[in-house]
Amino acid sequence: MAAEKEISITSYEEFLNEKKIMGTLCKECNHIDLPPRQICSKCLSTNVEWKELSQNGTIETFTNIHVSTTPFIQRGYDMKHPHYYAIVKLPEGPMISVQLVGFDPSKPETVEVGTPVTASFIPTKEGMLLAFEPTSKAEEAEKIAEDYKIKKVAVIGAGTMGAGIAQVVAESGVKVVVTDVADEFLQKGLNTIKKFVTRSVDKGKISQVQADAILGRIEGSLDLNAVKDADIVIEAAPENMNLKKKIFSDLDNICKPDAIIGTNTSSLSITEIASATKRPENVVGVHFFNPAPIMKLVELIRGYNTSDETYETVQAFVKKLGKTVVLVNEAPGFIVNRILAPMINEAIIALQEGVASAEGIDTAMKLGLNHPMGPLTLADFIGLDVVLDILNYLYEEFGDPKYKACSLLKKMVRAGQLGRKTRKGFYDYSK
Amino acid sequence: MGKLLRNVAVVGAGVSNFGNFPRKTNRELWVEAFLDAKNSVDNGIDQKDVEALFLGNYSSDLFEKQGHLAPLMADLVGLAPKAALKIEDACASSGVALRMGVLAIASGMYDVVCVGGTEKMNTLSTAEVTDVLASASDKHTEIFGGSTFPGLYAVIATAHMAKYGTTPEMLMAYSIKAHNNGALNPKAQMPLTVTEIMSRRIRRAKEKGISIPLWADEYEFLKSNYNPMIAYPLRLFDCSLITDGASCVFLAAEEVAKRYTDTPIWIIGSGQGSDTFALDDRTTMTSLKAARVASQQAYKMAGLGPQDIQIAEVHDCFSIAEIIAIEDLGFFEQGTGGKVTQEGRTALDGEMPINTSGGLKTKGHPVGATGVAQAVEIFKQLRGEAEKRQVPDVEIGLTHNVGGTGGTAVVHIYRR
Repeated sequence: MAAEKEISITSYEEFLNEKKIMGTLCKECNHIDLPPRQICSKCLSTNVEWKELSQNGTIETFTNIHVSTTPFIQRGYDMKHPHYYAIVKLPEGPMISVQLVGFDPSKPETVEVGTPVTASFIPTKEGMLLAFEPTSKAEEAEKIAEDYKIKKVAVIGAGTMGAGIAQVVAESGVKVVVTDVADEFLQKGLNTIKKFVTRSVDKGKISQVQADAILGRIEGSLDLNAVKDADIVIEAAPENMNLKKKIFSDLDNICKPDAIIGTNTSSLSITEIASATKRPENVVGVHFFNPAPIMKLVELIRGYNTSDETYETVQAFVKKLGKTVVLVNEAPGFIVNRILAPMINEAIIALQEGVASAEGIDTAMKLGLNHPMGPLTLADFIGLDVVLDILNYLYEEFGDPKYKACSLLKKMVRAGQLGRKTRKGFYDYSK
Repeated sequence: MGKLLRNVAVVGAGVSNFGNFPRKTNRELWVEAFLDAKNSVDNGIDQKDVEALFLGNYSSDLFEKQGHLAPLMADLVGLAPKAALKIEDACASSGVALRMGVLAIASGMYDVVCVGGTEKMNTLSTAEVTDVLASASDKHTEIFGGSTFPGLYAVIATAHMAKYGTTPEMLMAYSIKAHNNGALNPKAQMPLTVTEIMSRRIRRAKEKGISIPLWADEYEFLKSNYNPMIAYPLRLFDCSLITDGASCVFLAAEEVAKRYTDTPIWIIGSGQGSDTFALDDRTTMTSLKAARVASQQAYKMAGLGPQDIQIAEVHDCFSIAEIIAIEDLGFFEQGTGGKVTQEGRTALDGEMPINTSGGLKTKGHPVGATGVAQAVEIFKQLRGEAEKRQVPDVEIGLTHNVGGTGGTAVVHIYRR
């Protein structure tokens, strides 16, 4: 009970831990002090009592700080530079010094005095810290949370993609369980996430507290039954139709009736995978790109039976993860691989014909089109066997010779020169 | 109330060089300032005449891990076994020490005292200095809210801009003026005009072989990346310097002042005020109540008003601080500080020269030494000893020294 706590700065900070902004109300003159005072600052009466204050206010004045103090950083509050500091006026009258969150840190000139803001409590190892965010954003976040009641997510498979997706989900503040068939794979995946998150702390992108919170939301399991209370399941098992169908059939029996089951397949038919379940309307393709924590794109693929509701729920969920969604009607290779594979193939044909050297082709595509890497370097990165698989699949599905893999690519795959993973592809990585 | 029981004069005044001195501690800085002040006493002064030392220092304990500073400093200049005490009021430490010295003489307790200020700041990194300075603000609200000292003055600037239409260009005009004055002060930490700094940047770019910047004028330079944002809207050139330095004056009662000099500078007004500690508890953020209270006391004691002041050293720890100071002191109307600065009215040849020394911005801001260093500048100006930056025929001057964001302010008025 508020009335029982002594009037002190310690009590004030304990109330913040309960997400309450508590000041003192003077019973003589009705003046409110924040933080609390034992002596009313207006009439000097000692007849004061606790008063809970509104969590909405307006920006009285603000700044955007490029060098922070250690006590602030040590609280694990926010290590992004620059950060906003503001004085916020509450409707009851008092003002309070707080950090502002949810404004673009690089554009202070777009922030206006008088903007409505809402309290947002940030957990730190020394308790809650009070920050304020734009009221419009707070309402939006609340609406999303209400509309899409996604409290728990499951990821099947702790490989590169599975681990990356689990990390992205945990970073968005949602609990996630990752399952795999062998402890070895599971531990490897969880370690990858840990390393990635730790590196973000080292780089100053997030605080240790934030990192601990992210890792705390991730749970590993060898039992597929662990996904039974998940609202969304994302399967990230190897690209094998029979394996995926088996998993989907099992998931169909384990998952809640209204759970959505997504697959991270990069090329297989969503419609066919969905056919293994009794709920094809709840199945959707959710194609993340590697590395998932960094790559912004998610291709959202609609199978033949995917319902509007499923599609919209997953679309909102993926946006909440901070990704950009591109909507795709199921077709072989979706968008990225359908265009990428023939481009790489054409680059290999050009090399084969002696149009230019590998370096020449890559340089031309990099500088001519502003691609971050040339197509041959990219092929080495993806793995030539994977490129060949995609081309074969597209050729088989479309029957169009424009997807036919060129002979040099086939030859290199037969020779076991698959790119970076075998240390030799179009380039030599053995040194 | 509000009267000195006897008149008090400054009979000698000096400062150390201001700057970043890796080989100097507070000890050497202080001895340098003490000797400079001693040598300025026209008829000489002997240590045995001095009855007490009032020393302003903010945080030798945090900067240098040296506490109990007053007896140490007294000892080093031969003042032991006289009374020695340290006064800490953040950046107003030595301004308050000066006031304590004045009160001690006016009360009849002493005839001659030494008042000093000293701060060695360049022992720490900029980030650590930021921490030490921030400890002069409210830990539970301002610091946990993420602020810093530049941050607190930045919110004052944002409020002033929103309320009065003060512009970044007006802040830049302040900076250009401060550098013009500092360039004429041989003891300043950064005795360069903004134009000279621009030439240096161009020269350095040529030496490094990087692209040579082109600026049409100082304003373009001050809007460029060469003047990085510290706390929006304050940039590097809006902030005072991190400085090692010391300052010293000798005060004497009227009865003995003539022994030391024929041209004493009389302290005819002294005032000090305080305010709510945290900015967020104030009804206005575009004015410092403590400074208004202190100046009103000082004006009343001196029997003068703002119109009588001919020259002033004000606490320009940030550009916006000078702008609100010249409003709070009544030199210009509330809200017009930025505009009059841009119009050149506070320049060395303006109607109201402000911070002829270069101010905290270019002379430097060794926090505990600043208050007395301001008195040293007024002492020199009123005696016609300010060399290239001398304002002709000035008789009445004022110093305005602020601690924190105006939790403390102290104002003194001087007459030749």
